[in-house]
Amino acid sequence: MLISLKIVSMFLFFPMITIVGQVDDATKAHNKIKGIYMYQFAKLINWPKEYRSGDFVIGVYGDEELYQQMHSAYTDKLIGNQKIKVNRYISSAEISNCHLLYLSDNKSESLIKIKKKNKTKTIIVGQQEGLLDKGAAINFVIKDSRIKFEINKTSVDKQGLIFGQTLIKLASNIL
Amino acid sequence: MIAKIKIILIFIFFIPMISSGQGKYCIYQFKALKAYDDKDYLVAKAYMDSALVTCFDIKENAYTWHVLGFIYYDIYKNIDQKSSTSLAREKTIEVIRKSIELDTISEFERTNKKVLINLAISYWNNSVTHLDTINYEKAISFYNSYTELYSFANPEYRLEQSEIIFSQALAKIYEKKFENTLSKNEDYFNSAVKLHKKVLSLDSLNYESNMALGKLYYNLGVVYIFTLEDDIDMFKFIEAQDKAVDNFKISLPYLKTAYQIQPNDKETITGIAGVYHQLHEKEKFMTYMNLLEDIKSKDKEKDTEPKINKEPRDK
Repeated sequence: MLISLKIVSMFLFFPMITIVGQVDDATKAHNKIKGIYMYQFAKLINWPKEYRSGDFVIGVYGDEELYQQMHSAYTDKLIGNQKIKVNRYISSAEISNCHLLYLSDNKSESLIKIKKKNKTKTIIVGQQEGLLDKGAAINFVIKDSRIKFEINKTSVDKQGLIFGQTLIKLASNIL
Repeated sequence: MIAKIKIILIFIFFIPMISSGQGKYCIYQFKALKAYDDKDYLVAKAYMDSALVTCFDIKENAYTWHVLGFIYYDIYKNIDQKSSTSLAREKTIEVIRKSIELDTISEFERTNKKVLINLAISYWNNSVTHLDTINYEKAISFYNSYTELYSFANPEYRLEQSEIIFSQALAKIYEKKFENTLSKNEDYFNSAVKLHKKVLSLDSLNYESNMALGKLYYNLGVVYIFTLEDDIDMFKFIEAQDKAVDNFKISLPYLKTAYQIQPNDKETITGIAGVYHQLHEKEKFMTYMNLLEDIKSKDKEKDTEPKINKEPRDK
């Protein structure tokens, strides 16, 4: 065929699309999902009156990237009439007065210590197998390649908090 | 001397006119041939128009349309300067086809089809120059004209290779439009997918299309997550995560086929690792990341290997 090589090469060297995400973006995507979940937990838990004054504090312990994601996405958004404040904690000693606290996988061993210190106030969200048994109220789990969550309703009930029906319906496991 | 040559040329054209069963002499056709010979194509066309009106019997003669076809062809080439909007090109095709239809003894077949093939190639060239995010619909139209005309002129020629090249180039336009659309218009996504799947139906081991489909589905999965509103409704959010995971899963076999075809391509391996990471399959993710590291270190070794001096030190 008489098509010139020049013309064919114009087609062949047309820039290929690149993979948007690759490896780093997978982490970003996971953090985005966890961030949305955290915000939804904040919205869909029925917080008693004593929790409904001042800022609504979401703490992140041990996951800098999740903190950055949540800080930029949710700071000053409202839960009821409370402004969200996202705090990052470097050590467990700093943690106090959180409504919700995310505990990364590598900080799970601090759970009991944190729980003792923040007995009645904080809903602890973790990401490690069996963490509900150790006292976390919500635990992220991987099921069918998706990030899902399980809840410890018994423990939360004792704290005087109530999981909304949506959370109960969507939880992959309820203790 | 030149005048003599001209006369000879006119006769060369004129002889087939008589031998092709066009018994009666048609002065306008004769004048048309002379004008054509003088490269006065518009005048030649005007004489042929008169010939067709006045000399009724020439209409059924393949030679008449063959001559008119060449006149239009030269108008396209020399007057319209091969413009993509030239009407003379369309008229050439129409008229040459008529000549082929009437040419029961295939007297002019070779030259008629040569013209059609040249024009088919001109359509291909026009499709190339129009293949951008603005003019791509014209490119499609030109490409369709190319395939239709080429198949007619040379039915035995296999167009698969052109089909693959054009489909992949057009798919890239849709991919670009998909990436550039804020709302991530899935119509563009679907058009690109359809084209790459068409390529794979012709060549299932085509690396570019396997890779492109892997990337497209992966990217769509990522788009589902990254475009989520931060305060999205919980049920919609769950649905979006499902859609993202479905797309990651669809992307995997395409990326793996691409990997089989080019096992040392770093981008393919990164893509597979990325999908496994998205799917939370840590072991498989690590396997491919290790593979990537191996290839990178081999590449480094290659770079540090001593190379021969191409030029002697002492000249």
